[in-house]
Amino acid sequence: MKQTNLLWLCLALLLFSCSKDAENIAPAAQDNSLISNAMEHFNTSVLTGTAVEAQTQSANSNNYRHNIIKNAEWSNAKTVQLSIGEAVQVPLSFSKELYAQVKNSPNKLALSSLSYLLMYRNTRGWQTEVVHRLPDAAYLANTAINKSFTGMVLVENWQGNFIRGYSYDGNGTVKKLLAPRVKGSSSETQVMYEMPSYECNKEIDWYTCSSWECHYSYTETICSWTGGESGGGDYSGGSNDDGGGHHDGDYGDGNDSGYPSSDDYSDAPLEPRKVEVAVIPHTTITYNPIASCIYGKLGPGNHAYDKFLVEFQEDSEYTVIFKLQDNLTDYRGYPANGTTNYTIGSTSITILINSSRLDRPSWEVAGTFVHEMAHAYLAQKLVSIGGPGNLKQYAENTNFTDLFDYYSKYVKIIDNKHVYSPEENSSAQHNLMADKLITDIAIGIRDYVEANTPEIKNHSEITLEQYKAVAWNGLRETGAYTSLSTEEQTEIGINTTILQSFTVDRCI
Amino acid sequence: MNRLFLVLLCCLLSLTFECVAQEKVRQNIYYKLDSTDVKYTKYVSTHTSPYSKNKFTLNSFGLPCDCHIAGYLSFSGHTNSDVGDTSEQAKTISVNSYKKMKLISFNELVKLLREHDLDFNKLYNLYFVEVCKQRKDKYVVYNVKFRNSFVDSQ
Ligand SMILES: [Zn+2]
Repeated sequence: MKQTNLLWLCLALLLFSCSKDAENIAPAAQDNSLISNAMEHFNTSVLTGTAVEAQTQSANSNNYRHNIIKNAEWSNAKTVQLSIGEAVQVPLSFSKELYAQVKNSPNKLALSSLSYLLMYRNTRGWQTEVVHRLPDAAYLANTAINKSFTGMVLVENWQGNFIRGYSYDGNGTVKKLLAPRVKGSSSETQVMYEMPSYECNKEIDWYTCSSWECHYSYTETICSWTGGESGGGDYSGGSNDDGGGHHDGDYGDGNDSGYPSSDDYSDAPLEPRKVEVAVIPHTTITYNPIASCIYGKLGPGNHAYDKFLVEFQEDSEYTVIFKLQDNLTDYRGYPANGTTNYTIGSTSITILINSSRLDRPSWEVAGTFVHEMAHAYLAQKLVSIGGPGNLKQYAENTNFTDLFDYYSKYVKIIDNKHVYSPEENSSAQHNLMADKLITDIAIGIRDYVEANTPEIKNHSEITLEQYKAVAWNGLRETGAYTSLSTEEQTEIGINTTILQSFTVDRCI
Repeated sequence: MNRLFLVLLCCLLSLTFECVAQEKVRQNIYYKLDSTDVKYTKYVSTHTSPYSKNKFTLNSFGLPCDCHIAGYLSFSGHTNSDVGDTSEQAKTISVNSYKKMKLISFNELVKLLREHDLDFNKLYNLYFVEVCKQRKDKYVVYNVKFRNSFVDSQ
């Protein structure tokens, strides 16, 4: 109880700690001069720290996001119409990019694509806001043109202090938010969990990413007000200390206050940019020592990555996610070493690796990864044309000729209305892989083995034949395999055992 | 000082015993290779390890079987200690020793492999027994491991 009282006291103090913007109110100006006026104010007052900015809660010093250097890209500034009049919107770039993991979605979104600088004038002078718009999974999955925003908006000042925040759900409810806290780092977080008028069930997981993998960085926890519309004012603060300032308890929401309304933020014409790193390991991979070791040796430079996944890199529209799953089964319910899953219409492809079968020699597990990468390569092509039903239209295009041939041969029905069963996809793709991609798969496995144990490189007794033998795994229910003689089939087995006797089983 | 040493020694000893106790004893099983029964492929070779440059032997067998999607069951044993998962060196035994062996049939072997698949090598120590080509009164015993699991779906 005492702690709660203390919090209220702190919030009350914060309310009065804000002082009036030092700038004089400039006369109304035209669009271009609005941008240049905003820029001038920004450069002379905000950047120099002389402008006293609005805030309701001070920034959490543990929040890594606040410590990243921001840069306003004025050359791309534009004016936007808000309910309170014209405002200037400026894209932001960051000295280090962070990626927000969208809950229940494969997507990670770049902070720079979620954030912008918003400047506008009211009776108290220039107001400077850094707006972060974090859409939810439903918003990202919605392909409608006029979809309304669902997710969260956090409004902060240039220093990172919290001004206001909203969450927007699918049924039009807007909730007010409290400043985000870094999970587990502040005793205040604990207090907030105890407050009955708030529910603290919103989280943002932040990641840092390279061109091949993302690493979890930290989590921000956010509470929303559950006590009805009026309650939000209790923790809201004004930006001014002139007595008649913005601490009238209405959180700066609505036209009368001179501050943007919650609609102004949700209506912002901003499409989030999905993660630029299109190949993402799920935490189940990164937290598993075996899987993460193998995965780490299948990145750029490995033939399978360069051949099968490079398209994901060039066209960030597609995302491939690697994930572990226990007791994985295929479409027939049989145990499977790996599966590749995608839906026509979606832009993400998920490769599942059976965690119950990581117990095999690491080069065999690497073979499963590579095999699934080959599926992802084909899946990405299929997804890009709206599914195998459209292959006929693309049959002349060399990128799709093989797919058209194999779907025509093994599925027969190439038409838009046909629903392609997993069995049909499996049959067409495995036959194509056995005939056309087995060497690429073999080279991918060889590159893994040579990365794991470089001593094996150029060894006279180990040739591509041994790696090809491993590449047959998962491709035995194909015409190419069944047409081999018993001798040729057993030769594949012998070649695998030769490789096994030369290769360190575990990933080093 | 001496007492401390004794205490430490006791701890160390008890740990060692625990380790020994935890290591499971694998059951030995013997299967006689007979090409009139199962037309098997044998590949016996000597190689040089790329790591230590030591010589090692590899005994590899393919046993055709409709039971497996590959069309055969794959077994091998090698002595390359650089890569681990080694098997005993092949050895020659007398008829008397052979007669003491309790052999299992191909069907029994397949049943065990199917049942335990990935765990087979952890549970069983498999030996293939073959009549010696040079001396019919001798037998060669190869210690091998099961190499191609029944799960091939990916
Ligand atoms: Zn497959």
